[in-house]
Amino acid sequence: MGEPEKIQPIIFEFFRKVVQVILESRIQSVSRSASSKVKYSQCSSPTRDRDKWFYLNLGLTDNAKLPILEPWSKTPTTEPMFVEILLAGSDGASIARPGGQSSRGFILERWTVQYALNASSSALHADMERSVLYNKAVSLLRSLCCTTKLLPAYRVFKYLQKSPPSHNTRKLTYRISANPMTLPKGIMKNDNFIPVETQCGKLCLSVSYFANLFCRSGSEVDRLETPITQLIPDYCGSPGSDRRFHGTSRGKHNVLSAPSSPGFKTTGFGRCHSWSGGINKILLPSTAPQQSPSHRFSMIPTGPNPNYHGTLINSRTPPLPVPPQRSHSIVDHFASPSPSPPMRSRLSNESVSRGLLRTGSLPQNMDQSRNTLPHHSNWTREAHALSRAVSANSKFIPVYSHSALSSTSTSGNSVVPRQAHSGHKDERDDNVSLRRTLSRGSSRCSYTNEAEDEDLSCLFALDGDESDGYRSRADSLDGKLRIQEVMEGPGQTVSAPRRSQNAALGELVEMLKSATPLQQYSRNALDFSQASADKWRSDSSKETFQCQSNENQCGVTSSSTVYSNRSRFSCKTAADALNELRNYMEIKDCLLRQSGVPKGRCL
Amino acid sequence: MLDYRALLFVQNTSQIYLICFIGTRIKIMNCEVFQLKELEVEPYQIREVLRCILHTIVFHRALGVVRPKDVDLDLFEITYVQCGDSELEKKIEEKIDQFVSWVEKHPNKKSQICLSFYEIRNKSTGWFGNRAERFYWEQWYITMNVITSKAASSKSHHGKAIAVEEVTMEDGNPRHAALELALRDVLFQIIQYVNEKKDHIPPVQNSDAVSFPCEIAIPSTSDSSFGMDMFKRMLQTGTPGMLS
Repeated sequence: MGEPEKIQPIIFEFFRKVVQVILESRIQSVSRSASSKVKYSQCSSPTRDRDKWFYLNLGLTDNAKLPILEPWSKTPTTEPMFVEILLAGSDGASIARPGGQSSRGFILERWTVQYALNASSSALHADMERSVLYNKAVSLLRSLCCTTKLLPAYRVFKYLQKSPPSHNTRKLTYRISANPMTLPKGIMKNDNFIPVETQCGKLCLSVSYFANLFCRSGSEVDRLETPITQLIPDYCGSPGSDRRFHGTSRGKHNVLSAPSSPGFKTTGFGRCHSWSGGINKILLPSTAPQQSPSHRFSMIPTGPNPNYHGTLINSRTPPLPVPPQRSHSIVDHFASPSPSPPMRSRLSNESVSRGLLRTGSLPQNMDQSRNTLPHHSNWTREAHALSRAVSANSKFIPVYSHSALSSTSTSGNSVVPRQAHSGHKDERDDNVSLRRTLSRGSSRCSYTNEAEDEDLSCLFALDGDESDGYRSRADSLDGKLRIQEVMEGPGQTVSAPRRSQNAALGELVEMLKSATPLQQYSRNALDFSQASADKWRSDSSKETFQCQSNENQCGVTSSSTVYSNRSRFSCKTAADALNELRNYMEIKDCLLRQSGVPKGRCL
Repeated sequence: MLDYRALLFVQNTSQIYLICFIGTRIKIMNCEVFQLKELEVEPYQIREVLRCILHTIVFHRALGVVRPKDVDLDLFEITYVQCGDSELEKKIEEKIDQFVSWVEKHPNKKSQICLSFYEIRNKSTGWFGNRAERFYWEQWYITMNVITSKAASSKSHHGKAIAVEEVTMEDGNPRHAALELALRDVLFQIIQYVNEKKDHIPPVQNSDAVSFPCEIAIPSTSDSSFGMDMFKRMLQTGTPGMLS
């Protein structure tokens, strides 16, 4: 009996054990426990001999649907085995995903197991080789057990496991084959375990996982909002995520960056990131303020990016290259899960899904939305600053589109029975269920429904709670925008019906387009400031101040801002500056009198 | 009885040779030493962080048929694996309790916990009869910088991780997030080290053992630095703290 034949049982059992370890932490039908925090096999049945291989008893019951790895039971087993974890619809329906790479689901992970025979292997010291191989394989499997719990897909598994079945429109499936699916380039990260080398061959184990797979924190079902609905490489968070910045009642596991993060404004409305096309990378791992040092299972970095060493994928990981054509379309249309209080939200599904699923081209409505949204340079800078701050703690379940299902197509030679799926659901039903699941958690996001998918310019709704935040958000925008909020007046809710919100957004865009140049604005602001100072002396009401600003069509919210604008664009003498300072001091005194603070005391 | 108190300490880049002839001979030959990344923790986070790290290491060194036990941390979105042995778990908890007590007496200090794996060999030494020798073949150093913040000091005495979690999470504590990230890195670091170094693992002597013999050394209550106290004790009392 040759050496390969002697080692073959060990190799085959290793392959089998690897599959068990992976599926036990990814597939619900295989997993030991569904809901307990501590999963521990309490199987009362005696340990079967087969379970004792590599001193690792996973406690899988007989009901666990384990695949039969027949192709790898033959000798010699040199053919690699690919175990791919896919995110599919709950009915097992296929999901078309960007790039058209798979119709069976979106690949979250791919595990590669292979035993490479040495050409010059000999039968000498065969027993020792088997012993060494076996012992090292034990250690390798222990590492695999730990690693499966640390990768992002495990969080997805846990979330889906804990979500009520009625809200679960997704599930993890697997595919084991010798012909892997094509992985999207530049997105998947690769980690290699140190191979177990013997005289006869080398046992290799590696994993490629989706790098930008976010998973929302929170271990309770009610905290977790939408399941994965869209998987977007450059996901940047939802407009409703700003609620988490303030630690809402549901924000026990705040996933977005703290208000204390640099560059992040502790406003109630940090939604500016959603406006600009350049803010798409907010909340992405790319803009993390700190990046953990790379950790590798091995010293052999491989994968599409040899310089990337497989850091844990979360908000703290580096950015991934994203095709520019995706940046605008995807971020505008996905629904991001939010742990904040439930607010019904609807996802723009068809248009979104079409935008995600088509390869290399944007749908018509995507282009429309791109033209609609403003691309203010200031917003872009603001957004990047926010993205850096927010991405520090960002954890999101990537929104995954499952609509626009294409017919299932065979992908590779799947040598094991795939998860059964009952075919395609009606797309509309999927969208309804999708909306339902999304509405569980998205707080401030209101999305156009199917009927309104043609209007993608504004996906965000404002409720009354956001009025304060809305005003404060205005501080970060230019003066033209401030006019908008100021005109609305204090105490006036900014919430608007969905329809008017879109209209408001359009008005805003138009306002920006027709905004006067900054120089003109600054001069007007100066004139206004002097006039307003006089006005304050006679009438110290805020409403008057706002009316005045309205008449002059200047966005003046703070004298300091006006002062800075003025100083930037006009030459003034010291006398002018002194006069202006006096005016401002008078305004200040008037305001202080209003608020009842004695003159001269700082607030 | 001769009592040798010679202490030789030779350190290479990756190996430590420590030969101490005090009572029970200790040998550390070809010992793989793994220095894990330093963690900055608050007092209420110590238990979970230590449990996670120690159990992960011990799981990789567990002997016999192991039935993995997945444990979700309360403070972090991390799941680690235990080997499922109750005695080992109890031993680890005791050491963690001792460390926490030490931290309470020595706040805002950097400290190290050393998890050592050894094998015992009985060797006949002629005049001195049989001696049990400990051969340390692997050591893991866990460095923790315990800091106290206002939030931690106001909540830690409650002993409620959830309450603190609410404070920290709702405030979006970046330190907490950084610690979670660092803890993940440490776990991956452990996996990396375990995968890289396998040749030094000794053969299994006791088939009934749950794990390789190990000991967890924590800073003593009277010292200011972990290492210095150990050497002082060894020179003065003749009984190194590690062996107590």
